[in-house]
Amino acid sequence: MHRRKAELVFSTVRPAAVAVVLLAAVSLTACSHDKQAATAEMCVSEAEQNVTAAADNPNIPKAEVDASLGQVGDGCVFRGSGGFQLDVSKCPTDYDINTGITDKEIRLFTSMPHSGPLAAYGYIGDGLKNYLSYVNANGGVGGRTIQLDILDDHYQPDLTRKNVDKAIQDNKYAASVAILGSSNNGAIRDVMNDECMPHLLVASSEDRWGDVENYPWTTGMGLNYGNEAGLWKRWISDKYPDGATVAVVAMNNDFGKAYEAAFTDAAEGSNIKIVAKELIDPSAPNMTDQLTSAAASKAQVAIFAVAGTFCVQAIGGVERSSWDPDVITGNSCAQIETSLAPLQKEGLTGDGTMVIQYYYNPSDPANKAPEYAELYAEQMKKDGLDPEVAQYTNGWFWGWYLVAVLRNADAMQGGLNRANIAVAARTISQPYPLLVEGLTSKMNGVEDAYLFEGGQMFRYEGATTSKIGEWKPIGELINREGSTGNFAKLNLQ
Amino acid sequence: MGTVLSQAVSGGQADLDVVAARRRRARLRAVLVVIVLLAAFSVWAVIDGGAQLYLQRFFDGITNGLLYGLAALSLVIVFKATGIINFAQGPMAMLGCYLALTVLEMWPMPVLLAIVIAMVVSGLGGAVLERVLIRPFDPDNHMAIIIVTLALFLGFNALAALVWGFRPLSFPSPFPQGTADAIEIAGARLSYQAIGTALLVVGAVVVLELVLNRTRLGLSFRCVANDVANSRLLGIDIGRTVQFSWALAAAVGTLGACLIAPSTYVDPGFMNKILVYAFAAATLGGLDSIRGALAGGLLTGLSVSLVTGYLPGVGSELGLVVGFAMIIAVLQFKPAGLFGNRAMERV
Amino acid sequence: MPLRIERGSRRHRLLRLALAGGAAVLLLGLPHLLGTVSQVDTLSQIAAYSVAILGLIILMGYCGQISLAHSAFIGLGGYTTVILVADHDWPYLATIPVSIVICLAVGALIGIPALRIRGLYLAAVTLAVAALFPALVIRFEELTGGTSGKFAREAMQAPEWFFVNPYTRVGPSIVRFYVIAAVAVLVFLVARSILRSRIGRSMVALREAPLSAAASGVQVARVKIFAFAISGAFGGVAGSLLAIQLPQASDTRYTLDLSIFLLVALVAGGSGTMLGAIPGAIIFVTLRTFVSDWAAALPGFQGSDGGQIVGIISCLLLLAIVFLMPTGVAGGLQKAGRRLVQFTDPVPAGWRRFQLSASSQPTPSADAGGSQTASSPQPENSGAPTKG
Repeated sequence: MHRRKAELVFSTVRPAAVAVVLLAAVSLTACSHDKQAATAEMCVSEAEQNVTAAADNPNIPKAEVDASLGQVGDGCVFRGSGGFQLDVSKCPTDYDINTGITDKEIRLFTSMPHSGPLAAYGYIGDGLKNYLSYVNANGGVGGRTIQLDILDDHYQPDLTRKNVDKAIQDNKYAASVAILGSSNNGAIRDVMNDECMPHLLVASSEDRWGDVENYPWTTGMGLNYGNEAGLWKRWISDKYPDGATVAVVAMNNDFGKAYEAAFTDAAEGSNIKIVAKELIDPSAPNMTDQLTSAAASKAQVAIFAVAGTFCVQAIGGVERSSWDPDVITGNSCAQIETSLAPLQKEGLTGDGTMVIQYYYNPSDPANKAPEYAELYAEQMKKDGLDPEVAQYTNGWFWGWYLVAVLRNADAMQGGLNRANIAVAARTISQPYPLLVEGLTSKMNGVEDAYLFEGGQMFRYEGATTSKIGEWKPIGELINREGSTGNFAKLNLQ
Repeated sequence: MGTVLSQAVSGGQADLDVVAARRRRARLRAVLVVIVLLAAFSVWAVIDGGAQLYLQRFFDGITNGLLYGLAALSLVIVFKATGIINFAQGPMAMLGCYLALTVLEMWPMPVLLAIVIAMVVSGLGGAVLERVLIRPFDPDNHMAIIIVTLALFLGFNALAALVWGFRPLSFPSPFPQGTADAIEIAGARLSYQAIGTALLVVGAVVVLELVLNRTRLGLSFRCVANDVANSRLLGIDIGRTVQFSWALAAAVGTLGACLIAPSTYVDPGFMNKILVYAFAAATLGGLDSIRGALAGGLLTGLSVSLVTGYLPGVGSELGLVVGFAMIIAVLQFKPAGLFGNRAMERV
Repeated sequence: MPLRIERGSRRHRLLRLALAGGAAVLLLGLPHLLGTVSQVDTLSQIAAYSVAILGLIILMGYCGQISLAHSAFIGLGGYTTVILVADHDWPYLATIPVSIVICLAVGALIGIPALRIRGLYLAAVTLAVAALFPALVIRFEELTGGTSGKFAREAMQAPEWFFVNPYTRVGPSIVRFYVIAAVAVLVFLVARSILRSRIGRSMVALREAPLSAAASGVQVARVKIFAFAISGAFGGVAGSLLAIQLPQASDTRYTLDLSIFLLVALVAGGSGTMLGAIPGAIIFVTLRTFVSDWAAALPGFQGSDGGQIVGIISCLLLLAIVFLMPTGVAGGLQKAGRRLVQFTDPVPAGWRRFQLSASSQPTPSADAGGSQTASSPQPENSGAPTKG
């Protein structure tokens, strides 16, 4: 018996030992591994500048940048506005600032979930592509077309990383754009910055994407949760100067938890009291238990940091209950077609729901650029897409700023190259046509690392059970452009 | 069970009665224990948070529990006849619901009629699926059949997303559902929608109980699930029996989805979310018991809403955890669920 | 007429040596042949997931217990490694034993209900564990990093003397692949020893006929708990290996979906033999990693349709396997292999004189039964002629 056991152990160990010996033997032949020194060639820009090629079209952002910015001389330093500077000589030895950019095209990639519970967000990529095809048909960027490859990552960080590793080594992409998800972007931002791949306009609104000093190649885009929660707090303070009670209902995922934490921070030290905090398991079928608990707190204000069907459930649930708070939802519930219109079939309206908006949806009748909205619907139809899907409109939103970045880079010293693209992503000033009146969208190097820092409280009004309502601005526009700073020096008060 | 059945056939009625009576007593005891525990918890809860809040949580629990129980019914029907869990039940019901929605969009008609049409069509669909994909396998080959249902689970989910996209759609309720359509008891609201659903669910349970426990068909269900070889000897058409169970389950599943949809909205994943809870409910009640499914559903719904509502430290995001903790606790004492039949357990 | 080779003979040993050598050359050479980071990392994932699927094969294929909790074990292993490396500066490899211990313990805990609960009721309990895991990860935010995920900044480094140059772009990936593959090979050898041991044979007995097994002295409780524990530990090792490949852990990686897809992989690869884990892992990783992007490139599909195509292809693949190749890819390969080479057991010394001739032995009957299912593994010596 014992002998048998010993044999078993031996039969396991023997092949392993053989393998170890083999490996050691191979290693003995090892050579010493030296790092290669950097070469100067990688900073030579091959781009030809032909900015004038673009016709004057209000639906495509024009270059708006100080032409003295960009490459300093013929060196490896690229200068942006707001004290921002990139030194490319620290990049890998085989780095080339012209990768992915030819005289005919610029090749970019993105990574998004196309399956799983967040597959709906994958539509952003299709919307983005749709806008780019319009831009390509109307001059592109300095005569170049923009090609976007959409990769699927199932919302799994390891697959996002694999997509990025592949994109880096494929040596045909200039930059990434609108990669979705906070842990997904977290899993790649080190390698993106080590490899000097511009990590543009991240599709996640956490504050940490504004970390200019540690991650110069990474730029965020949407109104970050900290800013949005700060705006909620301001509005509540204005309406209830003597203090208010608030119930926060958030989804138990990256997005909901970030909102919840941001609002808790914003309300700290003020006379706003959070009397109920309820979390929803994203895989739960409904949220009645959470609504009952929140209602039991009898809070004056209800904040819903939710998305998807939970938007409708939250708004409808409060309307049906005897609780009558001011309902504020996250910007993720701002799409009328998906969050409010479904209520009608149930004899509800959703009237009175409030949301911080900083840009209109094209289908919103109150938007201030009807011709742009019309163009959007037309282009969607061309590709057979449903214009009412919220994520397509977000795709157009991302598309606008992507083109703004690329055109700005094209107009800088040294022309369109990857370093200039990363610099241009921190030098944006073109406002999206559907921005709320009076709002600006600027990036200014180290001084201002957030594109959106303001918004206005809107209330959903005029809806009946047979007719959808519209967002009406209430309260003043709050624009904190330039005062938030960057992640290291975050100022949200 | 095989011997019990043959005794029943040959007339060993006395033994059968003793066994059945013992079983009934055990069941009663288990249910009583659960009810007493629940009552004790409720007293504490009322003292802790007041009667109105308690009542509202109670209604929430009942309403959700009914939905879980309803979804669990279709799982139980297939299990009763085949001894397997149909993983594809959620997506099948979801497709049925989209079907009802499509019918409603194309021809204006009362919601209930649309639901009935969708039930009939999905019943036929279920029968066809069984004929094409399940019948080729030996009914005892559970692994192969489970794999087929797993394949359908993946395929149907993907198909629905491809056809209808991820946009949440609202499904009209067959009952009034506006802000005023609810009764108020001590300040807590119970909507007509919930009451109507409850009536429909109880009706469905009664009908199914009668069909499956009082008819020859029901007997053949149990017989096939229990022992395929014996059933064959007894002259039961196994294929037909299983086919009927699939058709019935698909129809009941569609009914469930259509009643659940008004409160959760319709998107390709909505029935999968419910199905996890429904699986919990069915397990709790006993996988082979129709009324057990309903009881398990109610118990799951109530325990989720009460425990997450009152126990400090158990946040409302942990509803699923509570539901499954309940299962583990109950199965320790009743390994085949509250109403389940011990002899049926197998895979 | 297949080639017959007697077990334990010189030819048999040579053949095994050649196969092992071939596998070693393949494992050593493949990453150099591929040469890009993403491809080598995908290879690493295949190796890591094959360990996870191996755990499932032991539990489901050999012991006949259902488990949907595997995603939680992979998660436990992953978090153990990332937390120890990121917060406590442990070397990566040293975290694997810790993962094993934790997962053995948790696996045994899950095994305890299995003593009383059976079949699908047990599946519900394991489902509970899988559903619980992400919620708990978010709950213990300080430890796990919550919804933003947990990262270790420094990836695994190779020692200077190692023969792979770590300063090339693909170098570190190749090093990681070697480490992961080496651990995986070790785990496969351990699994082989376990399955050939008394307890491994008890598992099979328990699956085939629980009552008879108990009657003939198999300690049912111990064997079941052992099976759950060992399967959990393999899951934990897989999690740690995945964390070596990419030092990141987040709640979205270890969901019930992962368990379900691993089940698909188990069936597709073949649950009847240990080696089924390898085709299983290849199928799993291919479906997850490549198919979506291939599908999206087809004409007529939007980018976001790709994910749905994966679902439909998985569905068709499963149906095809269950109809055409019920023992999975590994089972199918074995069957094909038997057409070429058949292994016979050495005839005991005293038996020789009772035999007429070697060729008149009954042929192996392992695959004769039409109702043989994917769930019924064939132990190595089933159908051995000495039985008759």
